Amino acid sequence: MSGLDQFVQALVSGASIGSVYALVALGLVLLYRTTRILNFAHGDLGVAGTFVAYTLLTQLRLPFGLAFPLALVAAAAIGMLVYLLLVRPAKNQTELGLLILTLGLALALGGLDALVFGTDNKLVPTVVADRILRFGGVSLSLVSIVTSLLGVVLMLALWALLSFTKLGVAMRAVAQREDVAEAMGLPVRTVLMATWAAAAVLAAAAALLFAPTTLLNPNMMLDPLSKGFVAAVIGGMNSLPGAVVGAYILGILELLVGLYVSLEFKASFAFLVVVLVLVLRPHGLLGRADVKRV
Amino acid sequence: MLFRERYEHELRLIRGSQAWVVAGLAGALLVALPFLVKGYLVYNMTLFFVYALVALSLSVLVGLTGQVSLGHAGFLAAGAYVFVIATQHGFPYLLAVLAAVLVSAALGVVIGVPSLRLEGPYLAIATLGFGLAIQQILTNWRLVGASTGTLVDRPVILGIDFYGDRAYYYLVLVLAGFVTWMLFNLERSHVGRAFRATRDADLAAQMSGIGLARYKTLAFVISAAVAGLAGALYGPLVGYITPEGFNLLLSIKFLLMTVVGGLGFLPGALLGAGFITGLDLVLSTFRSWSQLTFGAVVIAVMMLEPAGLYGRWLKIKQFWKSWPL
Repeated sequence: MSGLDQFVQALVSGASIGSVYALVALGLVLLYRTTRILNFAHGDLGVAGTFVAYTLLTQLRLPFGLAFPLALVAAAAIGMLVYLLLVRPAKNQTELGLLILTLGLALALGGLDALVFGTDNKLVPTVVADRILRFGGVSLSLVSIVTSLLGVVLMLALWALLSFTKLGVAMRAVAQREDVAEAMGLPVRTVLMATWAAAAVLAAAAALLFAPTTLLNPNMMLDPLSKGFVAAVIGGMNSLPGAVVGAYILGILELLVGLYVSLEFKASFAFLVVVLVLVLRPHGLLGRADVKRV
Repeated sequence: MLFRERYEHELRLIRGSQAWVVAGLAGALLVALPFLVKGYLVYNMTLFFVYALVALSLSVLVGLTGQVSLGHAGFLAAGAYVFVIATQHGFPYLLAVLAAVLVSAALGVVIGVPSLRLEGPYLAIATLGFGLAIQQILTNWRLVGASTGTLVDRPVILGIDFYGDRAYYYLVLVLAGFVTWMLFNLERSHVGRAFRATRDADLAAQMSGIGLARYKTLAFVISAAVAGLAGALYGPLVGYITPEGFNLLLSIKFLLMTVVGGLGFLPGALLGAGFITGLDLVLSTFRSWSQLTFGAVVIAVMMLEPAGLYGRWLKIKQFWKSWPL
């Protein structure tokens, strides 16, 4: 393979993994800017949705086109339940308290998955049979192309939801000023529940798209989740476009570092980037600083 | 005495005769414990002391100054590995421990200075990254055994062999007890008050002449140094350290200790460390259920008592003392 081909290959593969990071980061940012919760259970919510899909696909033998939406619906239901049963009634409503709550939830969900489905690796059927396509010196797997495209479709769907629907406008209003939104007669509780549902759907979609590249097990989302956090922080925790930009930058840079610098330090490189970005721009590339009134 | 009336009273570490009796009994129990219980419990008590040090260090950082860290296992790892390298180069025990503390404190500066500009989620992710980065560097560093890890021997000091679990228990008890005492004193000093002032209202603290940069960095340095000491004690205790052992879950457990125990109270960190270490020990017999139960307990504490176990205890105590008011 020539140098240029390698470079293009890294770009394409980076963009493919970047779409998974972007879906994770979008879910995290969507929830954070509305509820101020740094959701560490995000990955496990996604894995729970993927286990639903896995059961539907292998036990009930449903086609992918049916199992995928059903799993997303199940994830939305789980997200709503988490909000109604855990987050809303929790007495500790501080930012740190809720963070710890989601850490506990992550442990509990992971433990539950391991108990019900076991910790062994499971092969998840893919949308299309995998083939390797070659363009010149660059080879692409069909699954990763379909994955990236599905990811982009979902991102566009989220954008449409937030821009063109009443619910989306309500979500943005609650994110901006919860108390004013409530005073204006918005059903804040319903909106927050919908936000949790949407975040859980994004998590499940990311996990479902990521599952074919690795194998399904309860800890599968640990790495994409931490990368999703990094992407969200690089982009700015309160900016949705920032999350997408951060995710693609991270996905591509990671592969370029693996190619040109060192394969071993590919993974730790992400955190070097985050420290550098934060030192220069403490609120991320596209994020805005919270204005504190005294 | 429900309220503190004089400054001298506020300064006292142990308040009132009852507290002296309780403290004396607790001290006597800790000294006598290795002769009262089975061997594996002595080991786990020692592990509790080490974890309690980390929980205390995190309590100073998160509880007193309000800076979150999700990477404290990184400081623990740094302490443990520096200790190993130092002993391999023939450093005597106490110097090796000192080296571990100093290197870890230096790392605290490295993390603390950039984090002056960060808050909330940004700081959480940056420290999380630090923990993961330390783990990955150790995994790829052949000098310290890379991913296979390295053996750590228990020390011989002035001809006394601390190889046995009982002997090592006393060594850790003395060192950890001393540092715990220092941290409790720090909390009641002007430094501790400055820490709390920066947490509650950083602008107001600045207006009162507290250098924010100085105290925030200081909190990171103290926290890192104590965690480094814990690392130097941890290595010889477990006997064999691997980078995998200092994972994100451990960092999370340390944070859970401080929050479950009661954020902002140093005794709460001790309580939380005891609670989590004990829970781990009890659950280790039900392997498949342990993670689920662990998570459920954490959720329950967060949902029911925001002030943590120690906060609940304070409420009970106050109710008892002021009854029937």
